[in-house]
Formats: sequence, C-alpha cells, structure tokens
Amino acid sequence: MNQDKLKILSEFFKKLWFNKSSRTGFILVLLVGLCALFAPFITDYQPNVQNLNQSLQPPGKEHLLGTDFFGRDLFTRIIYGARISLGISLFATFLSTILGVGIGIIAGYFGKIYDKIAMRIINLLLGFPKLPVFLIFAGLGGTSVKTLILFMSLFSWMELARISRAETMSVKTRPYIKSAIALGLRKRTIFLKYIIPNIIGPIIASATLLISSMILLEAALSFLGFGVQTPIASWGTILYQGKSELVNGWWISFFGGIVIVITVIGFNLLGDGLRIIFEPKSKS
Amino acid sequence: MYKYFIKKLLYTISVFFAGISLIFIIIHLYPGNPNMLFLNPEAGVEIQQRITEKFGLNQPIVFQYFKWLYRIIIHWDFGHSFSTGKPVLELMGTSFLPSFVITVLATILALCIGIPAGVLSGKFRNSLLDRIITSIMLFFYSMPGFWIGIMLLWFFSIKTNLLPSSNLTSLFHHQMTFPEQIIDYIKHLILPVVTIALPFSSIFFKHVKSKLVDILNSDFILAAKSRGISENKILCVYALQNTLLPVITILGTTLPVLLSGVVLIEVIFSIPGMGRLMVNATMARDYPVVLASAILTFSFVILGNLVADLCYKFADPRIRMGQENESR
Repeated sequence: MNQDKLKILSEFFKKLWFNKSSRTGFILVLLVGLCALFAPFITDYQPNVQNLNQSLQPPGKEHLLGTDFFGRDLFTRIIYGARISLGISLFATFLSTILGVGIGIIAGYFGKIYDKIAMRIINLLLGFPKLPVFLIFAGLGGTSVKTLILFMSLFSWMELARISRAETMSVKTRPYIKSAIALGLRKRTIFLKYIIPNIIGPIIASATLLISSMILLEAALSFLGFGVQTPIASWGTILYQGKSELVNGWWISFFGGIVIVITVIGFNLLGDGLRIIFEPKSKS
Repeated sequence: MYKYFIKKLLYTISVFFAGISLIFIIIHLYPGNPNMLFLNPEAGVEIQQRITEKFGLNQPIVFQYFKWLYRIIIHWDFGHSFSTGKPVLELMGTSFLPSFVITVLATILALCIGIPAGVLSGKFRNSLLDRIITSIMLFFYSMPGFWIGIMLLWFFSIKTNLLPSSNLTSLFHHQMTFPEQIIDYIKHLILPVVTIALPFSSIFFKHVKSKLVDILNSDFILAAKSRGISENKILCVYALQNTLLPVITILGTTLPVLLSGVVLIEVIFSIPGMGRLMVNATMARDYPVVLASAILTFSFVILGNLVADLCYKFADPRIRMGQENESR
C-alpha cells in the first residue's frame, strides 16, 4: 500500500518536472518559499531597524536592492515581507478552499434546491467587485490582518465551489459511490473517503491558481493602505511606501513589484501544469 | 427573444435586490453600534443619542431596512455625505463620468491588444512568435495592475516628463482653446487607460487563444480545408466568427475585475472618479458615500452582465433559452 503511494507520488513529480512550464513554476515558487522561510539566514539586516544615514541608497554592493527612506535594506524587507504576504495568501487560500469545496460538494451531491441556492449565491458573489466591497468593510471597522484574511477568503471561494460541484456531479454517478451508498455508509464517510480523494486533483490545481490572485489582492489592499499596516513589511506595504518615494527611489517600487510578478508567475505556471497533469483531456 | 428578455430582466432585478440587501446585512452584522463607528469616541452621550435618533438607528432593523430601500427606490435618495454635507448623488454625479470614460476606453484598448495577440498566437501555435506573445501576456497576467501604473508614472512623468502624472485636466485647462483642451484630456488619459488595459488584455488573450486553437482543430475547419478554401479565408471567416462571439460574455464577467482596477488606478493617478471618492470616503468614514458608491458599482456590474448576455444571445442564436444558468 505504502509502496503504491510512493510510486504515484514519484510519477506525479516526474510529470511535473518534464513539463517545462510547470518545472519553471515549481522552481520559482520553491525559490521564493525558501527565501521566506530562511530569511534570517540570507540577510544580515533587520527588516524594521531604521538607519537614517543610509536613507535612499540606490542598489549596490552594500545594499543589494538599495534602501528605503528610513535606511532599511530593501532586499531584507522583501524577503521578510514574503513571509507576511505568502502567509496571508496561503492562509486565505486554505480557508476559501475549505469553504468552496464544502459548498461545492454539498451542491453537487445533493443537487436540487441545494444546488440552486448555491449557484445563486456563487453568481451573486461573482458579480461583486472585490475592492469596492472591501472598502465597505474597511470603512466600517477599520482593518486588521484578520479582517483582511476573512474578506479575502469570503470573496474568493466561488471558483473552487464551481469546480468541486462539477467534479462531484460526475463522480457521483460512478459505481463505487453507488456501492458506498448501498453499503449504508455515513454521508461524511462518503464525502471524505470516496468523493474528495477523487476530485482532489482539479481542486489542488485551482487552489494553486487562487494563491496567485490572493497575492495580488493582498498587494492591492495593502497598497491602498487598508490591509497590512505600514511598519510591518509586506509586498503591498513596500509598494505603498515606494509610491511616495517614487521621485527619489524608483527601485523600491520596481523591485517590490518584480518580486510579486515572479511569485505570481510561479504559482500560475505551477497551477497550469497541475491542471494539465490532473486533466489528461486538456493535454491534447 | 421577448420571453427571454423578460426572464433575464426579472433575474437581474432579483440579483440586484439580493446584492444590496447583502450590503445592508454586512453593515448591520458588523460588531459594534453603527453610529459609534462613525463618531468621534469623545463625543458626549447626548450628541450620540441625537445622532442615533436622527439616522433612525434606534428603530428595529427590519424597519430600517425597508425605510432605506424605500428611500433609494422611490426618492432615489442616498442621503447626505457626512464630511461635506452635500447630497451623495451630487458627489457621485461629478465623479461618475471620468470613471466611466476610463473604463470604456480601457476596455476598447484591451480588446485591441488582446484579440490580435490571441489570434496571432493561436494561428502560429508553438512558433517563436507564439512564445514571445505568450510570455508577454503571462507577464501582464501576473503583475499587479497598479504596479505597472506606478512604473509608467515614474518613466513618463518623472523621468522623461512627457505626460502629466495626475488629475484629468491641467491647471490652466479653462484658458485653452477647444482643440488644446481635447489634447489636454487625451494626454491625461493615456497613462491610466494603458495601465488598466494591459493586464486586462491578457484575459482576452487567454480566452481568444484557447478558443481559436480549439476551433482550428475541429472537424468543420478540416472539412473546409479539404475543399480547398484558402487558409486566410478559413481563419477570417470560419474560425474568427466562432472565436470572437464568446468574448462578449467575457466582457460581462470580467467587469468586476475591471472596476476594482479602476479604483486603484484612480488613486495612483489622482483622478477625481468613483474609485478615489470611495477610497477617500472610506478613510474619512463617510458611510453614506461608501454605501451609495458600492451600490452604484454593483448595479453597473449587473447591468453590464445583462447587456453582455443579451448581446451574446442576439449575436449567437444557438444559445438555448433557459440554459444561461447552467452555462455560467
């Protein structure tokens, strides 16, 4: 049994590695992830310690990507910011995946009125422009990282719900589900043991793609000043700061954005690659 | 067609009510007393009570909800701004036009970039050209839209001083002659419109390319080829027609994304439009303005969706009635 799982896993990585774009994506994501994880070992500077003698130094030997107005090393801030930005994005993706898959499976499995209600809600939420709605949240109670994550996940689960609904509907008609029902298994067991393992592929692919839109959303919200608040370094707050220093320090905005682009490209390529692996149909 | 239109309209109206009710519910479910959120915490108890009474916040929620709806629908009254005292509708009237113009222009530009890029890429699949275009479009798709705005702003306004960096008009706009005024507008619009259009064009690119590849591989194209119809004719007449029609629906469904982009771009380029009005109102906790502009934006989105659906239906009679819910 264990041997089988290992074999499947190694086959999976082989496929991932042999596709050029998913390999690129995997490497980019791994690179950014490792940088974030081992941030203190990569840089000697601290992300929030000010050094006004070194204010607005252009990229060079001492400061790889330059410094900001307060003399903080930009490279350090970017890799420490990766912890915050990736952390928020991953957590929000996790929450909306659970929400989306739950709603999708219920809608797909039970059908009828459940399905109708779920689809109505999904279509309604898809019509909401995210930023203006978030501004209502922010205008009501101010913002914190908690509100940010809550909002990001509450307004992003729809795509996952649609996918897991469609997959559940097709899996539901298979004989093994019918026999599981005939055996009188509990609904929870059927969902967790029979449906989810069989629809997990497309869900993982779509969740990977969702991470990249979460990163962009976090950056946009923090950029407007409503997400992560300033002394804390996140990619959005770095861009927020970069905008006010645009005349004297173009590198803050430039590198702050480039790192987002690299990460998002990574997740997009990886997600597309996963989608191809899990859906052999789209390969042709 | 007639029946379909009525059905669609009823559906849209119900979505509209569900939407604005949801906005209302979000506000009232939010922890804390709504009047406390917008008041100076140091204000006296008496003032707080007066304000609570003035805005009817001591009445039951259901009552408040219907009163709120009644005012909006019958009197078209969104209340007065907390910070300026002007009617909200008046504020929005002046800021709606710039946002609308930018949205429309950006959509047109995005179509002009995305569709030709998608067609070229799909036609010459796996060639060098395809790879270059696809990489550029992946870049556009993956970047934060506002970031490219900042970089364009830096290059064209700060570094080379070619284009103005903010607002919609120059300081001496009213002293200019008419043609000069037009040029002035155009100069101010270039950067914001390009900034929104670039990331947006990649969405069209993706759809057009995958659809075109699908169609070029389908049987009826093979049949046309075997009859000796020229490649160009096949592409322009048979393939493109089927590729471009779904773009109409994409236009409808991407409208929320577009409007979120407009908010950011208006903040970056200091354009006096809806987005900046909303952000400023949010910062000032000017709650009637935030609420009204959220409702207006939402209505704009569902109206856009309705129009897109109807256009699509009109353009492609194959879409069966009553199937629109499943297909979305």
